[in-house]
Amino acid sequence: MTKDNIFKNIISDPIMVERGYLKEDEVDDLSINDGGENKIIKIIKIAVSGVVDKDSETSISRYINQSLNS
Amino acid sequence: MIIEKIEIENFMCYSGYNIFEFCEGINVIIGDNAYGKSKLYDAFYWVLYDQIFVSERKEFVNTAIVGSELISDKVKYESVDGEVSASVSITFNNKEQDRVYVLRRTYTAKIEGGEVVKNNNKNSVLIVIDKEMSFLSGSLIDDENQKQLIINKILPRNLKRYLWFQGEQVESIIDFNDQGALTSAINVLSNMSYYETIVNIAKRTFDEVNNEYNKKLRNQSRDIEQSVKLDNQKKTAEQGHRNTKVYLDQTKENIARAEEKCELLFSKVADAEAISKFNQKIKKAQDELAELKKLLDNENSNFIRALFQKKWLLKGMNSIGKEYEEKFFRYDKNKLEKINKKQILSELTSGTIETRLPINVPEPIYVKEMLDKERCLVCGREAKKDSDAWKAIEELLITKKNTADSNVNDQIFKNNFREEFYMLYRNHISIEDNKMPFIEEEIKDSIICRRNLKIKIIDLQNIIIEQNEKIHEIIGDSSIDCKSAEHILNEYAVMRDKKELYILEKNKWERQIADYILKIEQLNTELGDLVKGEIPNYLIEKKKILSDFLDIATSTRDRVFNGLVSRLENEANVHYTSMTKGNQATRGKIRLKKLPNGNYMPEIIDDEGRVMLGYNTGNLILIKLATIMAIVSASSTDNKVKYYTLITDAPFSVFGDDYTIGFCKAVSMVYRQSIIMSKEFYKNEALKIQLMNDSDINIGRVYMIRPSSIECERDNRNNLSTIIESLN
Repeated sequence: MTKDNIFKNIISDPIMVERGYLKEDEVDDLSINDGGENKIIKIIKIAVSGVVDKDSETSISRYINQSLNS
Repeated sequence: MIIEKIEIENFMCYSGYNIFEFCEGINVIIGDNAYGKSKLYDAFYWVLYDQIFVSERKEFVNTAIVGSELISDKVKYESVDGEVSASVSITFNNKEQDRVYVLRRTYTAKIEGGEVVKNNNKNSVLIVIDKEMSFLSGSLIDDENQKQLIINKILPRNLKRYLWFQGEQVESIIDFNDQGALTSAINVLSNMSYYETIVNIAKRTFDEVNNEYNKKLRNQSRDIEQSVKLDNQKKTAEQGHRNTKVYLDQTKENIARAEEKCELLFSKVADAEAISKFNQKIKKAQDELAELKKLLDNENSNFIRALFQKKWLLKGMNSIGKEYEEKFFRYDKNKLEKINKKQILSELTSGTIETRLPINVPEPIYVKEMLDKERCLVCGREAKKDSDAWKAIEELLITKKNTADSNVNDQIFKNNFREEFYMLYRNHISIEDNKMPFIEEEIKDSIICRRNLKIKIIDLQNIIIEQNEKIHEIIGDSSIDCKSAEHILNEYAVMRDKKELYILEKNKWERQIADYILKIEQLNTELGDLVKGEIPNYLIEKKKILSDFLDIATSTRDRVFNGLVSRLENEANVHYTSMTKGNQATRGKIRLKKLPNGNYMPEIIDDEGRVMLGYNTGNLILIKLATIMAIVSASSTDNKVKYYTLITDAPFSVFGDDYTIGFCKAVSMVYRQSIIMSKEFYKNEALKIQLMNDSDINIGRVYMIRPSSIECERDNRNNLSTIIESLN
């Protein structure tokens, strides 16, 4: 299971479209390596990368926090 | 990661240098019981974990405990002084990462005078070599942590129980009695842990931002006191919400347990109900029987009484009665005559009556002569026989005789039974007085009544026998006895009631949770209303994003898990079908049932979705194996386990020959490499040929092993080694 698999699984959740973070046709085209300013996608990427790289939960959540403060 | 080879030197029954080379596919080591299969499994396990499986204890035991038992008896026997050692080396090849790992474990013992000296250094030594295949250069790993990391890479500890197991352990791989076992197996074997961790991170970050947000709300309040009050209320509500969620989870667990218990009992309830029904019938019949027996006893007593009291005894004695009547009349007449005669005689002798001739004149001798001659010798007239004159002469003789017999006649008066005889006569008269038809009816009624009672008694006895037979039939087919039947029914009723109560309780908690959520929302609004100025947009946005992130992470985890379970179910059925192909028995279909607490339990259903209960141990183990294979294959992108080798010793021992080929096919589908020790192919040549030629089986290397000992050497292991023959 690659980072991209997990990332795609998360962004394809119906809530993403329901709450307006993505349009339905955008889901398939997105990859974990793509850039972009969508904040929720940004934190999902941080979470997925951190978890797969076995970073600690504390440092991942700190990193997410920081990224949302900027 | 592929196991290339295992080299074994003086390890248990493998004396001298031995080598098994393996490739992708199913590698099979064939050998009869005690030929060295389990020792080969031990060799693998020992290298990685410094333990071997001790069958007597049914557990893995450390080298420190086993000690010199690890070393071949042959080597120990042949050595007088010096050191002997056992060593096993496994070469793992990770083609994807261009790496080769060589793990070699050695245990050394001292021999003095042919005896093993107690080894103070009880530990074995593990050497790990990490090589880059392309350059054939390798480095020796000294750091123990590094060694453990490599071992964990070869076979992660949490996967060990699902990938390396012995036949004896198969049953315990997944404990179906533990509701969380399957869920935890799914978590271990799949990538669910990633999603679980992401949910944890989402919770943590949301809590942090929520605290930050609440702090801001308080600081910007125009009524700090009120804000603090509301905030405290909110905290209490949040705590209540958390507690109620815990209660809800507990109640869900209880519902799941009650449901499971109900289901477990349900399979027995039908039998228990039948037994109970039959028992009730028996009880009813026994009560009726006791009543009828009492009635019959009563009726019997009445009958005997009536025989005498109602003179039923005399029924059918009419002719005897008549005869008796005649006899009685004769007796009575005779008696009267005798009385009369006696009286006349008495009067004659006393002279009260005068006769034509004096008494005793003429003499009887002359009277007889007159009767013979039919003539009166006194007057000379003729007296023809039976004429009046003749009878008158005869009377003279009788009178004389009577006088002579007077003593005898007296007996009639001495034993006077007339009264008794008369009573008997009266009895006869009473029967004759047209009472007989009535008596006959009474007797008939009584006999019919008694006969009916006896028929009813026999019927009831037959009912009891019949119901008992039915009960024994059920007892024979199931494990329930009469006593436990009632217990099962009671327990089932209790469990059903409990389940109902828990469901009510669950509804109550759910209502409370909804109330808390509403309350928290209200308090949030009230707190918001107290804020003077603006909460920074970044904070509002951050809170919103992290709240949504938490929802998305949770939803994704559940969605992925449910999807995995669904895939798992399909794949488990593919493997189950494949494994059961060679057997004719009903197999059903595996269904992973979701429990109220969110856990999953496998069950077997028929084609109409009804649960099939009472499948045998073999099936149960096949379900476990199929489920494990499904977890392994469903979580792998190409349905093949690329990185880990399945090593199993005697996996078929619990489910028999019919499933052997099916199991190999299923293993072929799931595992890139497997090493299976089996005796099933040892004597069954056809099975062995099928194994090596079936196109659905990706066969690797096949070896036959056998002990070297000849007949005269079988009393000990002093000359034991293992002969390895490659079959392909």
